[in-house]
Amino acid sequence: MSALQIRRLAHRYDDTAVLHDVDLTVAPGEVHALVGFNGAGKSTLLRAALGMIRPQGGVVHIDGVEVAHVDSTGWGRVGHLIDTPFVYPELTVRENLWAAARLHGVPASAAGARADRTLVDLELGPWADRRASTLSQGNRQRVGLGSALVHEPRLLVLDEPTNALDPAGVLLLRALLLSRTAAGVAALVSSHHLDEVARIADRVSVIHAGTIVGELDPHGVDLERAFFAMAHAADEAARRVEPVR
Amino acid sequence: MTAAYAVEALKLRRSRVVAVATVALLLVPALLARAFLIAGERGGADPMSAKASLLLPGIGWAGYLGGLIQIYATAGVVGSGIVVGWCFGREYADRTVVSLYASATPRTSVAWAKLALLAAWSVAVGIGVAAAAALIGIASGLGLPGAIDGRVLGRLAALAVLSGLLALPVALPASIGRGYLPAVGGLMVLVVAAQVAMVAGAGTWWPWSVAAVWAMGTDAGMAPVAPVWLTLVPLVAVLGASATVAWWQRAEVV
Repeated sequence: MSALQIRRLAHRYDDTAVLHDVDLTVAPGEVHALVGFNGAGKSTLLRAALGMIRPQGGVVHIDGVEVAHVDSTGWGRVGHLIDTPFVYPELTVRENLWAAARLHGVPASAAGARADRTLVDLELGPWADRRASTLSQGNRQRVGLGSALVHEPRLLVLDEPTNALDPAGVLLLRALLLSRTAAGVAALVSSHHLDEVARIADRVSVIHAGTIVGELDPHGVDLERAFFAMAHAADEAARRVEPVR
Repeated sequence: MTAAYAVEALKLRRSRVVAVATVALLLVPALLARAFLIAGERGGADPMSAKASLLLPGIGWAGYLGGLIQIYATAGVVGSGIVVGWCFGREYADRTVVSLYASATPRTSVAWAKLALLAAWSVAVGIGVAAAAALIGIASGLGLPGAIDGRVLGRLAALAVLSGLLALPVALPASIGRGYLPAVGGLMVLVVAAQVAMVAGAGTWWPWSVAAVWAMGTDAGMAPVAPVWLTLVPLVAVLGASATVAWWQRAEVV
């Protein structure tokens, strides 16, 4: 069974179709990357996958349960970083991770230890007791990633997770993602860094104008050329038919 | 303690907004009332003394506490409303609300925890306001308060608690408007409406006025308040809180 299954997803903002007939699955143990231009629909798709918006069409299942019916236990197996890192500036880094652990269902007795381990995993130890308001953007992103990982989720949904990360942070994230997926975690990751997704993804779906227009071979040569060719072909095809409006 | 309460309690404890508002509520109205009393008792012909004489219902403890209740009637709702507006509006302004979706802790639990802790904070502030008022009065030479003054201090504490409850509905504009400014706007509407109600003679039943009219008492020339009207205060607090929680349950990420 897929950890995440999206079928015929459709969504509009006012009179503009932002998602159209989207099908996508993420299996346990795989990184499924979602690539596309700005405004292609990546973030909307991830929000719909997590029940943050109610799409007008289609259905999303998480571990076989329709997203609207996922209970607290089910959500406790999901970690995500969408939009903005989950960081409260008045809390220290350790407190932020503790808060994320508690809200994600980790018992009070274990939350401190999970937070401490995540500090190590994200190499945030030197900043552990500093208020988050004093952190750099890159370290805020690391705290946000830690908040998504601290409860050891089985499904990870990350929107542009390398945002603001320095090269060391990118390497760290890559290693974390690969180790988690090696342990059976399913990961859906949006990005527009093709070279990055080529290094971590098992599958790469291209979303363009709200539709999945194909898959790229992450091990193929010249991923960028293939991506642009796919987007261009989708534009050409759209010109030949009535635009979705 | 559940996760939502534990996390929200930590955020309240660490918040500078809450700390500053608490200290301001405890000290500023009392110090202002004491300053008015000094001006009033000076009995001079200057405009400040004349204004103070008009504001205060008497001299000594009666004048001090009467003035304090008048000041707190507005300051309490404004100060508490700022805390409520920050508590809810910051989740939207900082975009942390997005991470409260798809979580083992439902958003409704988070919203209820915020509201319950804010109500508890109001009770603590109420006790603190009365204690601070008594200490400032004693320390500034008014002597020990008498039995009647003690009862007025009790009314002051009750007014402070009720002001906190009256500010809870500010959570709704903060949430619907997704930020601090709509909360400030909602707060201003409540404060202005309370003043209009007082002028229009509706102060004995309008929820955002009745607590102040009751606390000032008939000694200060206020109309008597039927106790049943005071029940409107927790009623509007519960209604505002319920509407806010319903919004948190239904609202999508934008």
